[in-house]
Amino acid sequence: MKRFLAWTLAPLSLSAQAELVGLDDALMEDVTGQTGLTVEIHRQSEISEILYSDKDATSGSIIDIKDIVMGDPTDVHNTQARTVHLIDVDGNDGIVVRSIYDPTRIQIGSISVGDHRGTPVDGYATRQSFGTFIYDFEGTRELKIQGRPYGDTGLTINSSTTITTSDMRWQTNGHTLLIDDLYYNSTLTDMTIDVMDDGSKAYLNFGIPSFSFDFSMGGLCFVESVDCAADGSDSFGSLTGAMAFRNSFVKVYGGGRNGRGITMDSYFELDSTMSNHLSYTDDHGVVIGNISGAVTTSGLTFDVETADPVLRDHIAIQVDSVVGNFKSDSIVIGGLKFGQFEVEFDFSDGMHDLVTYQNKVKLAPGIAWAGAGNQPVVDAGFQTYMNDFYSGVTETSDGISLYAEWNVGLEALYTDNENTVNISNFQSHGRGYASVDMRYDSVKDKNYLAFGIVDYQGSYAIDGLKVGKAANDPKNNAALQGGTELLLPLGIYPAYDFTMNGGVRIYTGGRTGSGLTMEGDILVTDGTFALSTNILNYDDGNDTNDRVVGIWADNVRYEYHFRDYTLDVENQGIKLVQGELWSDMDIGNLRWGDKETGESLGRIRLQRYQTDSTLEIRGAEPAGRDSCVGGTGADAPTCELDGGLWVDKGDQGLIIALKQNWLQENVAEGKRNQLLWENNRSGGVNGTGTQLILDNIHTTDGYNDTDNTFGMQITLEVDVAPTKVVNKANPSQEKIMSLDGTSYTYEDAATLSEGQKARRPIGFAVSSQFQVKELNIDSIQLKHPNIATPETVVHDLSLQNFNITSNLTATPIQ
Amino acid sequence: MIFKQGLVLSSLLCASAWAMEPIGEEELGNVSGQNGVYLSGDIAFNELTGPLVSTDAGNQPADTGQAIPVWGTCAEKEAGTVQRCGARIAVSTNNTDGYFVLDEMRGKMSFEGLTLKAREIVGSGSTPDDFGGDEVAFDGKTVLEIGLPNEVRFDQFELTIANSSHERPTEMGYQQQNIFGVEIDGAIEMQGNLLVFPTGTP
Amino acid sequence: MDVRVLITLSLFCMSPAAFALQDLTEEEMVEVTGEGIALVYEDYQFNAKGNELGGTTDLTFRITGITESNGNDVVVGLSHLYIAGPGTNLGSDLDGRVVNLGRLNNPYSIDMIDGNTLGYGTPAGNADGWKDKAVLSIAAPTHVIDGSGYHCTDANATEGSGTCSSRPKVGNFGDFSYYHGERADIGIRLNNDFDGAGTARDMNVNFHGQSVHFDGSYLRMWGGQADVDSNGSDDQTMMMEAQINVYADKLIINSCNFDGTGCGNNIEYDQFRLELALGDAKYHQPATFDVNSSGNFVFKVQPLPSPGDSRVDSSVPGATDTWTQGEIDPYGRRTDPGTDPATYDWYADYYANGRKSNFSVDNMMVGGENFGASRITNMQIQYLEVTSHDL
Repeated sequence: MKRFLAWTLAPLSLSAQAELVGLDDALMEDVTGQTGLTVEIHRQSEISEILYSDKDATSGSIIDIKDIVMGDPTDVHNTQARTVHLIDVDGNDGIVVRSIYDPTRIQIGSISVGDHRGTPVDGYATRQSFGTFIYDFEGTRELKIQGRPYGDTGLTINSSTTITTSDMRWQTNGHTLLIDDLYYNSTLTDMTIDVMDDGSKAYLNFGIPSFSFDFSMGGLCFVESVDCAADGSDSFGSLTGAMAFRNSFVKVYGGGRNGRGITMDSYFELDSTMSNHLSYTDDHGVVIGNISGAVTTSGLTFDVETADPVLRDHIAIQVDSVVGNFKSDSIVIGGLKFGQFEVEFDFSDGMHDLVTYQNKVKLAPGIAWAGAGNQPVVDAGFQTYMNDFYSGVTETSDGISLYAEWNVGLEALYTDNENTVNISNFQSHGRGYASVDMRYDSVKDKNYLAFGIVDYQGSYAIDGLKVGKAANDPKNNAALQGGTELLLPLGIYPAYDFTMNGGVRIYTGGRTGSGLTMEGDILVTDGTFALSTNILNYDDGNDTNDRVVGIWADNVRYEYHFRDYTLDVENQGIKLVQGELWSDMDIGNLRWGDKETGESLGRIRLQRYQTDSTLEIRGAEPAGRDSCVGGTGADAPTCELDGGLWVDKGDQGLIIALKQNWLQENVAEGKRNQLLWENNRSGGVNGTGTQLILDNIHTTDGYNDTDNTFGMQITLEVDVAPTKVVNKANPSQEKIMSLDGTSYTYEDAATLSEGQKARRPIGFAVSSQFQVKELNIDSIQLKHPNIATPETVVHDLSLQNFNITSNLTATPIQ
Repeated sequence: MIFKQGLVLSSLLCASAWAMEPIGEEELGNVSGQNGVYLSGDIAFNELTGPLVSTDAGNQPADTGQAIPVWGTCAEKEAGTVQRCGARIAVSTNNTDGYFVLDEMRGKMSFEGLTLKAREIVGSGSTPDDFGGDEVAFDGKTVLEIGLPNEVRFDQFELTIANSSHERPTEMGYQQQNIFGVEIDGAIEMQGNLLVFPTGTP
Repeated sequence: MDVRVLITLSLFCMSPAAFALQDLTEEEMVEVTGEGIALVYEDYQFNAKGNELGGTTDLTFRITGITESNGNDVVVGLSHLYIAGPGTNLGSDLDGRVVNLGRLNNPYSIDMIDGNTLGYGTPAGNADGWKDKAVLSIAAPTHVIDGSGYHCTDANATEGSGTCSSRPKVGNFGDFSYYHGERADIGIRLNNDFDGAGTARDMNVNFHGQSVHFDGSYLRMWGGQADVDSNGSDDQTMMMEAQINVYADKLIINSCNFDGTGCGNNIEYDQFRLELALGDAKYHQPATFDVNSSGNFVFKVQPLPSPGDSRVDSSVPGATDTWTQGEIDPYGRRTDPGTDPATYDWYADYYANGRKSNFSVDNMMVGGENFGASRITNMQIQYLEVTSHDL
């Protein structure tokens, strides 16, 4: 959601700047007329303030942009930047403007809103702004403006733009986020601009039959220097991409959601005949190729509003709906194929528990929670982390505070060698506050992006899975199935309600070279997440019959702390190194049945403490992975003879490799690996019941209590593939899907034809390995509430030399 | 009980109409939702080796006081150059010396159709579950159902039950008394479901 | 490895007070209902049938590593192990014979119990061994006393006829009204191959139980201080109390050839009932398990505390006793001079209410001849030590 908004906002703000620059040219520049139709502009200008107001009698406020400077990037205040416009009028092409921009800087000192603007009385001492934005660029543009033939109104525009050696900077409180070395090339063909009328309202219509661009970003880093490489600073990595749109349009209406403002409708469709792709390169690359899709936006409004209880005056952006789809036929990470991915989304208003959730974001300048006493109030055990997080900024610091609210439904599909898994009917809604700003870490001597989360209340749920051959379109034809239990080992739950608070610090640079480094402290409260769900009476024609029963972790308080997490793209995959993590997941009630009233097993609390654990996601090797599941054999015939199932895994698939070093307890810092079960609580209050405690769980290398480098190693290789399902009531029969994949029959397993074998149900083929040299539980204790110290029942339990391998097929039950 | 006798009577009247068959999946589909997962395949313990290897520091005769390295691959164990290749669980029930041990665990199990799902007990309606009448009071109660595979095949599955002086067999002074070993090879039939649910005071 | 088990029993007491066979006393039956994880097997059958019986499954299931006194290997092969519904005809007719183990309203359970709900206090109101203990319990379905129970060993018992919660089958197999109940047919066939080559000394022995269940069984574990290795000082240890109940309508033992043919006469025990109590936490007699530095184990039921032990009640000096030394006590016995009345009460309470083991068989039949009934009741273990020695 946030990412989506960021992408939507980016072009908007860019075009806004462009508009302003255009207006100012004629008024304020040092303009030199040249011979013929050439205009050369030597630009070196400063604008002290621009105000935008959508204020009327009942609503609205003011956006205040101060200290706008344009000039040469080397010395924006004192050196002119040169622009040459060659203007021609052509019988075919209309007005043609060919422009050459020499290196130019546009610098916006600060943008503020309404009651955040401060006052000249104290020299703007209390002003809060979104920060300083600096845009450097050079390039060329050809713009053709044509009238319409036959006296038709409106204009047709063709243009091509190339921008090179461009940088963008965002600074708050003197610390910079630098988007380095941008290149951008676009071609706009036959765009029409018309004033039209839909019967009730006039609007400006931009028809965009063809628009394409390609771009590259050399690096993204958090430094004040000239470029990301200049002081050897690590970068996030580089991005390149190309997109082509067709048959698209934008309609712009006057008037916002409240009073004055701007409203837009738009439609953008990727031209699938062109090569649309995005690539990210760290040390190795992620390529999202063959992208297609379209998005329809209705009622995108832009208003300046007042009096949010937390943000006060703010910019409000809201949509009635954003509906579309996005598909990539080729995802390649570190040189290996992951398969295809598609998502269909619908952001529209929705009602949940009698509350309407809309899709909107409010932006206010400054950090709403900075300054003594302003920190968000969370629970006592976590407050210190929130106070620390906001201690580095003040009431007058620059930054972005925002409120986001969303309601979305989506369908996600993953296809691996012609077999598809559909995560069906993902529904999510929520609302909450956040802050974003750049800061400096004196210990690491590095800038970081500080991302604060305040009272984010969110919820998501999925109905289940649909699987089948891609050709049979399982999303629309296959029956809904279970199987989300398979995702639990990855920490993905089929439903989750939560309230989140916390702070995350993001640094650029990975463990090796470019990449990302993250640290943070997150607290989830009032959490309820599902371990397994079952929607009863689903699709019986009456939605009110639908009930979700399952096994739920309810009344969850989950504290998660992480340090030095690095994310790098490596050869064949993505690697997350977890420098240090300690967490405390306290499940107040593990419930059966209804998520809030179901019978409870009591309290389960899991504390974790690890260093240098890793999570790797890799593409599968293209060859040699086929396996004999449930038997032995090097090929299909010998495997089947042994009673196994030969699984042809194709050349796509996913490998997830985990290595976890569980540490000995750190008593001084209160960090440990411990599992606790408590029941017989008085009034359900934690700590009043009897407890079973598995204490100080840790790994070692097997020969002493100190060496701990091997940890626990788990590898999962996952493919979507045909599986074998036996009729439990009659084990001599196998389940075979119909030709169109919508129904099934049980057939005699001994006499299956090759055609029938090809229609075995689609599921997951999972090859896994679990290894531990030694896993210790120092003690198993029982504690009665009347005594302070638990009594030890098992003094030492160790698992040595475990290497468990499995080849399983997992089929969601239909 | 009156309910049961009623059923007995009705079954006498129309006994031929009823076949003793488990309810098919199709019929259940109308009553309950769709969830859960069906697992088939194999799980092997230390099929060729464990992660502790014969060249490890700490594993050599000088470290252990024993004649040959303790841990190694199963091929090395066959050849007699190491002592063991299986997995080991050691438990101590008090703070004195000594451990109860499950030792040298190895082998492979394969199965078809182990299922896992959340299920609601059906105690009323046309096709109730049969728990001898207990289902009526449990109508609508959710249980975790682990459906047992019809058959579990064991391939050279073995373990030893023992008592040991030390947690690790590489520790100096290690002594162990093996009590007996278990070897399973071949197929064992297991039918039915294991139902798991909470009870009592949380 | 050749391990011999040496059992030391001391102060083994069989109370002659009540020879009449009776169901468990009410106090013993008032189980704490489950608090934790309930487990019920539904429509269950387990069947491991070996090669030699011509089973459809190609199975070898062996116990190895045992040697007899001459140093020869003894391989114990399980040629058949089954848990199934009633009516299997000694395991020969398993098709469709399934059974439930545990009931939805009285399941097998893994619980954690507050020890203060298990202890009843002592006659003097002092702490007993359960006080302030968190107790991990693994328990079978319980006995019930509300009239909903069934006779424990009668395969045709009806509701209200006894205290067992597990029910026998209802109706006839194959009928629509048939319900298989919660009492299983359980059997095991053992082939003892004395030197691995098959000699005259090899033997087969088979046990078949019909309508078997384990109601009232449990294993409870908690932590505390006790001398587990008999070195005179207390150790921090796991403590256990177990109740092992086995009820069967019939228990049949016979011996056949390894392939199941040529069976001798059956030994049949009718209405088999075993109620074995190991450990008694209330009277500070937990069971403990220890492995010593030579790798041998010591299993103990800790000795009953002696008079004068702080855990045994004694009179508070100066307190007013309701009876004095030398008087007739409430049990009709004259106290010895010098006996502390509170201590006397404590031991009297132990003998009256401490955990006791029972065993009974209504009829023992061998080859059709009835050997009559056999009963051992109210057996109390005051001390038990089982150790293994390397011979």
